[in-house]
Amino acid sequence: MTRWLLRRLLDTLATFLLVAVLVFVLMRIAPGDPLDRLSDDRPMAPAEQARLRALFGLDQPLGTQFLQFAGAAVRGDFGASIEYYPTRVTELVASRLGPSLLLGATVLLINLFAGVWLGVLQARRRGSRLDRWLTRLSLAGYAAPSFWLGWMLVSIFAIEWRLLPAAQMTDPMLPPNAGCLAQAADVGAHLILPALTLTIISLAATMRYQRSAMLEVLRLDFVLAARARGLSERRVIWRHAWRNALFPILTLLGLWLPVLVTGAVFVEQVFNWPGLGSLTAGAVMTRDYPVLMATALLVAAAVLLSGVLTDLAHRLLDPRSRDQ
Amino acid sequence: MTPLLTVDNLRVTFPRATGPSTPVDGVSFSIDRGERVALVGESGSGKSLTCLALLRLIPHPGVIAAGSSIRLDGTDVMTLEGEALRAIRGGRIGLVFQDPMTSLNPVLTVGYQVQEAVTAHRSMSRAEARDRTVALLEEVGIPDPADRAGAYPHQLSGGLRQRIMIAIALAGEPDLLVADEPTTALDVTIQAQILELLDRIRTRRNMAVLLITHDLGVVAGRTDRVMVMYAGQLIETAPTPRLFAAPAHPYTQALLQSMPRLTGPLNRLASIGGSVPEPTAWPSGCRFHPRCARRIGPCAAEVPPWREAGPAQEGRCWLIEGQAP
Ligand SMILES: Nc1ncnc2c1ncn2[C@@H]1O[C@H](COP(=O)(O)OP(=O)(O)OP(=O)(O)O)[C@@H](O)[C@H]1O
Ligand SMILES: [Mg+2]
Repeated sequence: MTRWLLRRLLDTLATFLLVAVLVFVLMRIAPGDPLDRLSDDRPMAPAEQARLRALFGLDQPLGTQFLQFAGAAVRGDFGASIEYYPTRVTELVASRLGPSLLLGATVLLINLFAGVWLGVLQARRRGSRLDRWLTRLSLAGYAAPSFWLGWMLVSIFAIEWRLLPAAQMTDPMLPPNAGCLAQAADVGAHLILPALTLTIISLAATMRYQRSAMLEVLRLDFVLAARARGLSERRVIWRHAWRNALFPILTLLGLWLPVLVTGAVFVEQVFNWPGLGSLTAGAVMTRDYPVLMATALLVAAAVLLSGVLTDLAHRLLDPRSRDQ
Repeated sequence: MTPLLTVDNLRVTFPRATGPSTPVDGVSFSIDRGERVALVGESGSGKSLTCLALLRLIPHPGVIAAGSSIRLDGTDVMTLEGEALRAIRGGRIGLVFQDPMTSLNPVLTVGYQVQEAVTAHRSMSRAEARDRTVALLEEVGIPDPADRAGAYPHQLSGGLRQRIMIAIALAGEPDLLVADEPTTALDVTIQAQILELLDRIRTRRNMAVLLITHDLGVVAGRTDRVMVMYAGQLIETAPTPRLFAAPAHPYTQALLQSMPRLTGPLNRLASIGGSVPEPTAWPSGCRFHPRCARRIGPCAAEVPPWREAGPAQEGRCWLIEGQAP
C-alpha cells in the first residue's frame, strides 16, 4: 500500500513536470503576447517595448525563460503579474483562492449530500412518479445554460423580491468594524445565489450516477441476503447496498475536486464573484503569462492530486483491491 | 399438534407486458417442528421463489397473490409488516442461499455480517455480540474463529463462505432452516462436508429443515419427507424411503431414473426430453403431460386431483388409483 502510494506519487510528479513544460511552451507559441495588448491601449515607442520585454524577461530565449521561471517557482515565486504590475502572482492567486474554495466546497458538499440522497431515493422508488419527476427536474437543471440560470435567479431573488444580494462576495456598505457573525452572515447571503446556480446545474450528474449505481447493486444477491437476515431497511440500503454503490460517486468526486481551484468562469462572471475562474479568464485575454502559468499549474496539480486521492479512496474502501 | 409452518395455495406472480407470469401456482404444504423436508424439482420449477415467499422476499416486481396463506406457529405471515416481519426473517426462519460468494457483502468482514445478524434479533452489549459471533463461527466449523471474523468474503474459500452463510442463518436461533441448494455452487469434495455440517447442526438444535435441491441423491437418509415440484406446483409428496421405493408420479419416476447421472444441474432428464415450460404459459391439464411417456385420455384436458398413492404418500396424476386424501 505505502509502496503503491509512493509509486503513484512519483508518477504524478513526473506528469506534473511534463504538463508544466507543455503549458509553458504552448503559451509562448500561441499567437499574441502581453505587450501587444498593452500597446492596444496607447501607442508605444519601440524603445519602451524593449524595456518592458527586458523587465519581464521576454527577450530571453525560450529555454532560459523556462529555467528562470522554474527556478523561481520551486521557491514559490511566480514573478509579478504583467496586467496588475507590480502585484506578485502569488498574492493575486492567494486573494482569489479563498472565494473559489468557499464557493466550490459549498457546492460540492450540497451536491454530494443532496445528489446521493436523491439518487438513492430514486433507485428505491424506481419507476414511480417521484422517480420520473426527479429525473425530469434534474435534467432540466443540467440543460440550463449557467449564465442564463444565474441571471434568472438574480432577477427573481435579488431584483424582483430583493431577498438576496445580486453580486460580489461582500457588501461594500458593511461597516468594517462589524462583528464576526455579521460578516459571516453577509458572505453567506452573497454565497446563496451563485451556489444555488452551480448546484442546480451539477446535481443531475450525481443523481444519475447514484441512481444507476444503486439500481445495479440493489439487484445483487447480498442485498436480498441482508434482508433475509432481518436487518432494518435503513441498514440494508445504506450499510449494504450504498456501501457498494459509492464507487462511481468517488470517481465523479475525483473529477469535480479540481473545480475547487479552477473556479466556475461563467458563474463567477455573472455574480462578480472574486474567484480564480475570473482571474484565469482575464489572464487569458491579456496574455498575462505569469498569472496564466500559476493558475494552469494550480489546476494541473489539483487534477493530478484528486486522481491520486480517488485511487487511494477506492483502495481504502474496497477490500478486494486492497489485497491485490 | 399443529404444524410449525403451513403454506396454503401459495401463488407468486410477476406482471409482464404479455400478461402475468405465475412461477409458483398454488403450492400447499406443511412442516412439523423438527421435521426434515426436501423440496426437489428441475431448474425453473419455482423452488427458490417458494422459499423466498416464506420470508415475503419476492423480488420486485413480483408479488405473492391474494389468497395465498403462510402461517408460522399460528402467526399469519402474510399480514406482518416492519418489525414483526423482520423478526420472522432470520429470526424464526433462517435462509441459506445457493451461492455464498454473491450472497455475502464483499466490502464488509464476515464477522461483521454474522454479528449484525446476531444483534438484529436480540439486543445485547457489543462484547456479548462478539462472543456470540465467535461461538457461531465455531459451531459451523470455522478454524480460528476469532481471527477469521476479520476476513473479507473474497479471502475465504467457497466452503468457508458457505459455513459463514450458515452461521448467519443460525444467528437468530430459527425454528426452521431453509437451505436453497446450499451445495450447488461448491466443489464436489466440499459438498459432502457442508451437508454433514447441516445434519449435525440440525440434530443439535432440533430445528425443522427445508432442503431445496435438484439432486435426489442428497435427499436419501437426510430427510424425512420429500416434496416434488414441477412447473410451479407440487405433484407428489411422500416419506423419503417410500418415494425411493415406489414413486407414484411419472415425473418422480423419471427423476429417480436419471439419478445416477445427477451430478450437475438437473436441466435434462435422462428418460424424458424437453424442459420445464415457461411460467407465462403453463400447459393445460396436468402440466407434465407434454413430456409424459405414459399420458392417457384426460391428462391434457383436466387437472388431476390429489390422490393417495400409499401410506402418507400423495400424488397428482390420473394414473394413481387411490382415494382423494
Ligand atoms: N425476478 C424474477 N422475475 C421474473 N421471473 C422470475 C424471477 N425469478 C424467477 N422467475 C421465474 O420463476 C421461475 C422459477 O424460478 P425459481 O428460481 O424459483 O426456480 P428454481 O426451481 O429455484 O430453479 P433453480 O434450480 O434453477 O434454482 C423461473 O423460470 C423464472 O422464469
Ligand atoms: Mg433456485
